[in-house]
Amino acid sequence: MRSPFRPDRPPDAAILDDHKPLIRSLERRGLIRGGLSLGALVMLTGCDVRRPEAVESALLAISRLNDSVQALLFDPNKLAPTYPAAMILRPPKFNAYYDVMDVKPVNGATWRLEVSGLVADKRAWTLSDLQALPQTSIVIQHICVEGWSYIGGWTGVPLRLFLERVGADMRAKYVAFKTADNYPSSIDMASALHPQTLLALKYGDDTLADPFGYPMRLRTAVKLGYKNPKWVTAIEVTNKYPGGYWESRGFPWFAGI
Amino acid sequence: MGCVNTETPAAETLSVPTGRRLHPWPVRIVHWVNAVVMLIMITSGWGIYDDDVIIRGFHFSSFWRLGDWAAWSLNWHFAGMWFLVINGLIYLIYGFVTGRFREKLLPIRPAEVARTVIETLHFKIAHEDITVYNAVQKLLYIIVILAGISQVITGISIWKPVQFSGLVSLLGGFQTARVLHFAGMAVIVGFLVVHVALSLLVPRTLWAMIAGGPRVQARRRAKEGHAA
Repeated sequence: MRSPFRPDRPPDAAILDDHKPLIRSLERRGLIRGGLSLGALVMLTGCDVRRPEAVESALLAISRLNDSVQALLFDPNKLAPTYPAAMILRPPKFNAYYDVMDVKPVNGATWRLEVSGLVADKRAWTLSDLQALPQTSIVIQHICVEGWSYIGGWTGVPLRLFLERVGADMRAKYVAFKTADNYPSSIDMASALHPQTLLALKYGDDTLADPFGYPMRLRTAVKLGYKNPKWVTAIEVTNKYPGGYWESRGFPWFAGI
Repeated sequence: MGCVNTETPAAETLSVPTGRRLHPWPVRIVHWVNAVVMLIMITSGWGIYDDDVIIRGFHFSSFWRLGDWAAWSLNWHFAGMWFLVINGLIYLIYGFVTGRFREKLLPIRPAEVARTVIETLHFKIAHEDITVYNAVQKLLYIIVILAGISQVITGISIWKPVQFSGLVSLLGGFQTARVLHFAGMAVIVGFLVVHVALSLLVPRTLWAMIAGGPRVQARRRAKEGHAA
């Protein structure tokens, strides 16, 4: 049976001649070239075919929702399990967004800790200023978002005590950190005030080694590993969402454990 | 068409079974939501696993992973978990309240399990009546339901090992809980392989999970209820 879509009269053969140049231009090499530039465009816009924008924003919206659920689940009085000093792993595990060989040591003598934001006293701190404050020791598990974990022993100034000393507004939402290795980070105020959140100066009984954040790093028992910035150079108390290095690349911000 | 009922002869209405479908609509909806969510949880879990493997040298290639790197696998996993838990709770409550679990999955007699296994090994798979599960089917469904519950428990414990530190120590520590979470996945994937293969071998069962399947007569359901 004749297709109803076929024209009654066949088209004039001359039409084919008229379109020959166009047909010639549709050669395979052109198609490949076109495909390549489309690929380049996709890379330029940062758009991933495996991660469409709509899916990405939906996942990020749920991740933000999860952040608030995590904040609700967080019990400020619940202590993380602690372990005997004999279980401390020496040296601790190194992890950063670069290799251990690329660590740039910080000079403790010239190092200063800047304090800014919603605090009464914005004076910068030296290492000996921090050492003069009361110290606390904890032996806790470090849990990385990747899945590995180890037990480490940390000594330093409880962040709560430090925030009290600088007259921080404890009702502020965030405590943000800047570091010598350009690894911005931030945590919620409730976790900052947790008794197992330290400005750590020592590992076990020894001064922090260079790869692990000398002279000072954050060490909190209530967050995943990536919320523990090393080589901290500045602390800010703020109500404006500060984000962080991995957070801006898609990882959840709250990351409480 | 409204007058069809009045015109239908009484004898014909009697011959049509009036019971509920083998798979009532809530079961079907929950089943297919679970199918999608399980695939999301499994494949995104493989993406998270690959960041720090449990079995040395064993990776999942990018084809099998949901999320093009760990952050997005994690976001998929932490989004999917809500759907898994809510959908799973609806299924469990429905199964217990309507008596579906007791009706379909009990009793299991060890002798029956052994007989079905032997028959299956001889490629004698009885499936004339898809409304009755054999002993091995019952056992597998119970195992996968328990594995699903176990995944939620081990999942919570590796998500919040400090907030639920009691649960973690009950499971034998963070790393043990993590391995258990991985093992639970392996059990569910193993079930899935058998489940999907059998549903393709007996497509009537697949169709029944879409359209509802044959009507199960209320009388027999009641009798079975008494026996159990």
